[in-house]
Amino acid sequence: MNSQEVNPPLLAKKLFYFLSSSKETTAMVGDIEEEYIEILHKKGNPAAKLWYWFQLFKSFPSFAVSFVYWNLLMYRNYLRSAVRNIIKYKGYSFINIFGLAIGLASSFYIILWIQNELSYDDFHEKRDNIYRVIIETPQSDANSHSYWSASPIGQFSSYSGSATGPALRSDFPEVVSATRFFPVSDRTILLKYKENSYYEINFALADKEFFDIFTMQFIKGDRENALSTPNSIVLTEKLANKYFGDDDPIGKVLNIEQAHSFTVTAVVSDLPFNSHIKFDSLIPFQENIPNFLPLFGTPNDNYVLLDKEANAAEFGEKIYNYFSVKLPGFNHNVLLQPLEKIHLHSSHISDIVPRGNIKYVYIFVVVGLMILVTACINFVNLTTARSGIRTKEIAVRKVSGALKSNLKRQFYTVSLFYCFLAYIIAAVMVFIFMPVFFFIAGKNISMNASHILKVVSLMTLIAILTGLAAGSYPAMYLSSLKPVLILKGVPGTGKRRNTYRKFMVVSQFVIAVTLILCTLVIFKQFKFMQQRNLGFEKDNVLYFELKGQIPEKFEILRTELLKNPDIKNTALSSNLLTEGKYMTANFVWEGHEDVNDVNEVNYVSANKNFLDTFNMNLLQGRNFSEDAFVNNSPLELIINESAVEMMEVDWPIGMKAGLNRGSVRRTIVGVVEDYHFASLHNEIKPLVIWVNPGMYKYVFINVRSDNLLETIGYIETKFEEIAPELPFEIHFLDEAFESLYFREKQIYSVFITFTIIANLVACLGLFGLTAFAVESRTKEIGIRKVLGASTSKILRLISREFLLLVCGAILISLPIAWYVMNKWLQDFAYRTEIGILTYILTSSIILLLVMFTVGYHSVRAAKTDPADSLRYE
Amino acid sequence: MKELSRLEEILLLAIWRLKENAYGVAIRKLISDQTGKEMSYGALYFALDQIYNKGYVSKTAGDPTPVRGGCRKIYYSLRPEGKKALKNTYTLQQTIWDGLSIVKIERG
Repeated sequence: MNSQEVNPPLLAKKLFYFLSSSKETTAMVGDIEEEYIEILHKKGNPAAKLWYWFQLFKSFPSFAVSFVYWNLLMYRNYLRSAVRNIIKYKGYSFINIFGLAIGLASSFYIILWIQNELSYDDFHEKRDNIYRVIIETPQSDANSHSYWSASPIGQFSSYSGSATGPALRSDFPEVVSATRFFPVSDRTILLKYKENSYYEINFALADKEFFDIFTMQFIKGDRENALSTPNSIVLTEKLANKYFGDDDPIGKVLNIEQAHSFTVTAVVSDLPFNSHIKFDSLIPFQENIPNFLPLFGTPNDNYVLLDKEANAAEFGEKIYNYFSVKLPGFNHNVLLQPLEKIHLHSSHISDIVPRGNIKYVYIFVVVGLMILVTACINFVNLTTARSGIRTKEIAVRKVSGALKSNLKRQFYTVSLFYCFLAYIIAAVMVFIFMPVFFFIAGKNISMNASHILKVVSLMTLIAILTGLAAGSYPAMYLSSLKPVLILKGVPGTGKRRNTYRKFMVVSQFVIAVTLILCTLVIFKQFKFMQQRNLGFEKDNVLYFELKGQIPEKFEILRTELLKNPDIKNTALSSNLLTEGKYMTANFVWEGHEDVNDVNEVNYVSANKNFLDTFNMNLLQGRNFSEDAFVNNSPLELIINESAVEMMEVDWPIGMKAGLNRGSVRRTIVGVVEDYHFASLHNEIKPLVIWVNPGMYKYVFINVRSDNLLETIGYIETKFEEIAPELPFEIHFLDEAFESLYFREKQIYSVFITFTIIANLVACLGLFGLTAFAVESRTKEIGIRKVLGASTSKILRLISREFLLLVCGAILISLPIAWYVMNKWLQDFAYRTEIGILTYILTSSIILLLVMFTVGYHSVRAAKTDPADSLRYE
Repeated sequence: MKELSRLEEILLLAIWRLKENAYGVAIRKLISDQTGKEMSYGALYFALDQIYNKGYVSKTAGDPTPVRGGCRKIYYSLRPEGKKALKNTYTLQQTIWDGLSIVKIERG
């Protein structure tokens, strides 16, 4: 027999070595070979080789079991040493784990919020094929107002016309379905059932095809019958309970605006949190009831459900061509906006209802990352600082035979274990602070199972990565140290580590300082906006909506109200001054009547008491007279300063002007000082005021600030005298003003919260590092004390390095924060400036924090009896 | 002192019985003859590692031979802990069987 046949199968032999976890694998293979040779002699070659392979397979289960067993044993030992580690260095461990837990918890909330924002409208089954029609009004078109008078020139708008929906449905084969949707946002709607009557927000109109396109849960009734008749109404569960309690609402009749009766045909469950469409009550789109909601045109959205094969981009053009043919002079670009983009990507679109903004998502991602980075840096820093202590122990281990790979594995295990603990603590924190989070976020973020799953998996991934990152430094660096050098006590291996650590501390504080500065600037801007004179009196002004018969009886009400000495004045107007959603028109005046001359103005309707009630300044001319409104036609106009600037004349009083080219010319009788009728984001635009009672929506009452409760009671009494069938709801004007800045306030709360967290984490890290630094210099400090150094000198010595680092951080972050805040402030036409004081304040805050953190340890160290510190070896 | 598992008991007794010849092949053959079940080499060495870690046996290295492809033999022998464990097991066995005769088991 040749050697090829005599030798055991090589592959099998190699596999034995590879798969066996035994300590005596070599002996085992030798044993097997011994038996193999025996069998080879007894039974010949094929039998022997077969036996060999058979032994291999028979051993598989044992290999698996022993592999698991040994690994478990090994990791159990690592964990034991990790726990011993934690107990031995209780203080550091606590800071470490707690700091990381804070970071993880914060990231969790941010991810939660972001996930919420990104998940809008994902519950609609046909979401991939749903689009919204967007209109772009080109700059140059003066005639474009005749179609969509509510859409501003040169912008995108979702007001796409009330004829559009039906046209899309009938004339385009690739449109499976289309619907109009009109949320009534500028007023409340009075609903009444038996004795219950309330002013409802979230009232909307839509075509019955709405339910074919969007997915809604029907609690009662069904899709086909939902809006099938012209006077059907669909309610959400919330409203159904409100008006009908436990009774079945189907078939019951609701009264709307004291004039129209609608029958309940269906009840749907409340719209989920992540729906861009919101309504509590829905009726069919009303085309033939002219005074149903007296408005100037119906600004509604149009949604289409396209065929799967249709191309959205081409389709937009098709619509354009279609309308160009049907409507001469039509000059708008038509675009289709996919459903998933509506919530976050509509900031450039003039929308009926304000939407979210992708910008904020980005901001939160950045802030979240910063916090997470800070926490992780801490974690890594403190872990590596501590492992630095253990170089001797590691050297001993290496010398006594520990494999490099084993050491690496140990570090990773310990680090991951810490992370795991931090993860648990973070989970508890998240649970406890959830209500606080909802309060700050301004809404209840509820989630369904798949959302939660995504968030939790992402968090787990982050925690694991952090653990690995923190473990990687000691794993790579420490396990490759030469034991000989360490045991000999060769210094100098610390230098590179030190630089790395310094860099980390500086980064943390750059983040912390930047956040503080941003928060201060935001606060400053808010104060500025609060205190700025708006050009009209907003405090102590109450308002309620004009409904029912109040307009006819208003003079009586006014007389009665003015009898109360605490009531100063009343006025009527079409807009809540602060709303910012004003009608726009093309202003034409003497000498500027050309087709191509387009001058956009906002206009509002108000009565002659308006200027007085709000204490506005008349700069030129006079207030409205009794002739302001004659024979159903407004004859007089008051314009603001910006309008005068636009006209480029000095004295516009007496000039004839009109809204839109085709309309009647009226006389300008007065010029009012500019006042902020929109948010301070925007420059004050040109404004035209006229007397047009048909458009009035609100009653304003200017009252004295004392006896407010009684005054309101008085108003209520008088209200009930003239309109007993209407519910009484009155509001403060400055509350409405607050809501203009709701978004910013939200951002601000988030910012300040995360600033505090980031600073807390950074200081925690610094605290730990200082403690460590001080401890490693105990002997040095002891000696210095013996040699006569004073407490303050020692203090200075220890804190100097850290203070320098933090000052460096401040210097780096100031320009960054300046740049970022400048950009944010540009958003406001009326803004404060950042100011030197802000920088000084920021620096002071940070330095104070740092001094306190570092000082705590330094003072303690300085006060230690040298006898104690020198005794310690 | 923990109780010996059946396998540990069998293994230790085999090692004791084999005296200086207590190495892999011999142990495996002996157990196979005694119990009728053949242990795979993987299982055998896993078990041997266990009793070694528990301190019941000690290892000695033998010489490599060409028959084994140049691998060394490892011989196992009982240590005091192992002997104590066997004693305990035996005592326990006696105690629980005390007074009972297996011959009489059919009669109840």
